[in-house]
Amino acid sequence: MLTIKKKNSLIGLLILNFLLPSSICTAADHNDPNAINSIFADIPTNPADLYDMFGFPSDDKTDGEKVVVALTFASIPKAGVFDTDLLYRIHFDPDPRTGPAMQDEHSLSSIVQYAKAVGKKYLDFKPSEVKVTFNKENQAKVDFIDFPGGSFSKVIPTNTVTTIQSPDGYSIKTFVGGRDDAFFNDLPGFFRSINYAPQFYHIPNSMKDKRELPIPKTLIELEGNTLFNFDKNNPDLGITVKKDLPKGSLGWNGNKFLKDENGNFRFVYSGKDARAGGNVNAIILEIPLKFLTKTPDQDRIVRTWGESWVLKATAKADSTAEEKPNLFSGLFKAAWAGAAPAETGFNDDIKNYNKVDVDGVPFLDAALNEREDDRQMANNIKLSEHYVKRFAHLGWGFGPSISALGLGTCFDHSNSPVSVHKTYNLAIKAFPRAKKCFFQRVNMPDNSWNVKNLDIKPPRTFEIFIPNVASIDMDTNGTWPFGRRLEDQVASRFLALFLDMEKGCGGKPCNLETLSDLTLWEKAPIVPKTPPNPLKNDKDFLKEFPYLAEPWQ
Amino acid sequence: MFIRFLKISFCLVVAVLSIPLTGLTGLTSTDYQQELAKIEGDISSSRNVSATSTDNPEILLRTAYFYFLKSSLTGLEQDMIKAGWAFDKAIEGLPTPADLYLLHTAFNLKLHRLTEAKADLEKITFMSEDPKFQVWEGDIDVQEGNYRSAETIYRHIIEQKRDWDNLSRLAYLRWKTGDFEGADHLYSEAEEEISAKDMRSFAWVELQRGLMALSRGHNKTAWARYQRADRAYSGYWLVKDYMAEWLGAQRNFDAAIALYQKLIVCTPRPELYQALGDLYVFMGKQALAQPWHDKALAAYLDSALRGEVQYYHHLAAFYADSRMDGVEAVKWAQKDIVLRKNATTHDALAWALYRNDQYPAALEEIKKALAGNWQDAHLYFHAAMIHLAAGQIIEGKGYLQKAAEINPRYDSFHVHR
Repeated sequence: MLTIKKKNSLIGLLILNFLLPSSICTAADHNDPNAINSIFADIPTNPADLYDMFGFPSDDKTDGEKVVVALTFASIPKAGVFDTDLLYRIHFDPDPRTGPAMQDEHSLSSIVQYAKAVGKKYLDFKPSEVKVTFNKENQAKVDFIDFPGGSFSKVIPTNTVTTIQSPDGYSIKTFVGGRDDAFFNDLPGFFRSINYAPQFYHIPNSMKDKRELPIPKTLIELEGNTLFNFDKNNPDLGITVKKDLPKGSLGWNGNKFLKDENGNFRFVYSGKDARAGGNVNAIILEIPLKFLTKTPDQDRIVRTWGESWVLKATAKADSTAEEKPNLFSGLFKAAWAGAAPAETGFNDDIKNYNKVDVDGVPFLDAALNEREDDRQMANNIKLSEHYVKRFAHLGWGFGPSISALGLGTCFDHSNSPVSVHKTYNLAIKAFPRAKKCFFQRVNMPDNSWNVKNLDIKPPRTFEIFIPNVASIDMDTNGTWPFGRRLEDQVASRFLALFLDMEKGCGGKPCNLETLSDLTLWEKAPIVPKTPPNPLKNDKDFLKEFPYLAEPWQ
Repeated sequence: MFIRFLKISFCLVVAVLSIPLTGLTGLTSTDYQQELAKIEGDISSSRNVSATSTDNPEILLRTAYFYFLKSSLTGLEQDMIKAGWAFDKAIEGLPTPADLYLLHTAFNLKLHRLTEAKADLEKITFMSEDPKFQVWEGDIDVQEGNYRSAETIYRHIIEQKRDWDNLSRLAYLRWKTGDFEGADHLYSEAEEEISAKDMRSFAWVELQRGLMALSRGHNKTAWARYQRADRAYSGYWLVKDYMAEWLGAQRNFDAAIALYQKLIVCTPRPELYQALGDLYVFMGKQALAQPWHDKALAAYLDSALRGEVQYYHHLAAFYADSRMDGVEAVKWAQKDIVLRKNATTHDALAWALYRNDQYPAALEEIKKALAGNWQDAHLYFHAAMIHLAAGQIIEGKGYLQKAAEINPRYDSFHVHR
């Protein structure tokens, strides 16, 4: 007899996916999308959590130009050991410099037109890709797909540099293994700046309304913001300690920034590296440009992005139809242990996987995508209006705090003396406030990026957001936003997008490195006197491939 | 009692020891053993921490969670009881227990405690727009026979996110209302959403697809599904339980009995005692059935004596079919229907009334069951018998025809679930 009891069995099973408390107070990491965001109390760290996508022209010009790309992700089960249920992809799209660009007219329609032009390009677009899967012997299978010279595969050992020869004679340096996390950033500071409760309090993924609390975003602390201001009695809150969310109001009723007895503001950032001592697993490639495109002289921009995919249960179930060892085969296998591992046991059919995470533009996911699962896409054209609204929301928070520090902001906050919590339903309402930011071209601190002294204009801010890819300019040194070099402090550079690049720094132009300038903070009425984020990684990068430092033991 | 304790302890020890042995010999411990051992480890860690930090909310939550996890995995009464204690302690100690109440809702629903489940949700109404809250509302609707409302809720949630669990919920409603193809399509879609990290969920969906096939007489398909579930998540008693039923339905009695007996050693659930007893009855071996039925009944009644309600439904069916005791069957079916008025509880009461020779009342009740549009061969069989007994021959024959249309093998051995 079939009864309602079956439904109850379902309930019993469903709950298993429902709540898995993480280990207590794990340090923050990159954490997106939300489905695998281990900041939440109910989600463990996941190897599908992509951390960073680095990409820059190699300094090694032997045998021609080469592109370095590095996709890093959570080192689960551990650094150097890979999960056989995961698949990683790195896409490549070499383009001429004359791609879609925003026009000079500062209007919302210019932004929409730009997004449409980018969207048109990516419609039915099929980039080349490198796909990596793993077997139980911890070998990596690297598939090169749809490159000008064709497609081919190679099984390689992990944690060692391997040079893969393509059928058309190119050498591709490859490293798949554990490394030190190249990301150096004060993540708790960033989360404090946006009043992101899951970093400070026990918040499960299900409590969507308890993520960014309705408190103005800010770079300096708000008077009376007891939920997120630094607490000298609990200095590790939000770093290694989480509390229960207090009862009562979760908003802010103040009207000014906090000042100490000396008249100094309190910075929400500490400048400390939250990822110090942390490891990642990484896929690092150094690829000849000629391998990526038949017309390297024309295709000077290499767009690239990474993806993580997780194996479907259906595929795993069918694969377990293979032999499961019994006593005798188990003992036989044990006796033969030490023999060369077979280059088998890979499942690299993309149809057997579901996409989880995408990494292209650094900080885009945390700042503008709000880590939403359904915003994980390189072709993020449909998010353009959301970005306008979200950027304006952030601008109302960061803009006044930038002004309070004596800097100029591109965001029009009507001279508000304090940060404001404001959200928008319509992009057209938000746009006038943010348009100067969107259309201003970013300034670089000097000309070192333009290694060939070519007539290359830095991008406008909105062009950085769409599409969600790392655009490596082969005629530059690849520093962000012309790619992303390992040593780039991208978090502070992203914040600098709210500065007035024209005359925001004492009447002079600001640049992407302004907020990393120690002298700025020495002079500013603020404590601690530190740039928002560390200026360098906790371990020196290597001068040679694979460039990322050895993992921590 | 001591023997039972020894048997369970033996099984647990084997489960835990099999993990290190695996590494030494290349032997494969089952997925179930591995998961159980992991949960045991998690519980043990939580216990160690809670010994020094008795009021840490996170530890209380974790402890309740892991006990609940274990009880869901083993299906054993003693684990349910421990989970209940852990919940009580956690609810007492947690200041903002939204997660806990969501979890506790599931626990209460599992035990048919609808009033308590609703009370849990009342405490977290601020989450009422959240799919994780809404899904329990849908499940309560199913238990209360509000199938349309449940379907609306499930569809709404699925529009936001096509998670496997919500697709499975909708599939279940489609199945029970006769859209078998639609249900299988949804189950298939659900399976596509399950990752390789969650093979037990995959196995569970395969079991549902198999059971749906079996309920239509598609025995080969059912077996293939059960085998796939077994491969996907090995060593799971629930899969073996379904397999044993299947073997009984094929009249492969020796294999079915052997499997039930194996199952009962490590998973001493009263439902399994009853199933084995029912199988013996089906074979015409009343004497062999008796001890198993006695054990099942004792466990059901013990549970009811403790104030638990989850076995009311089993008691009604047990008395109606295993003991042919109409008076007792009606008594328990009425208790159940006070808690949950849905197609199956109306059916159970109707069948109990039939057993008690109360044909007009049975007729009235079975009409309520049929009003739910539940397309189930056994429900139609009950409807047929009741109509025939009430002198409504044409209707009775019609319902028999319907039962056979849904499942030409509806009179095969089957388990009261």
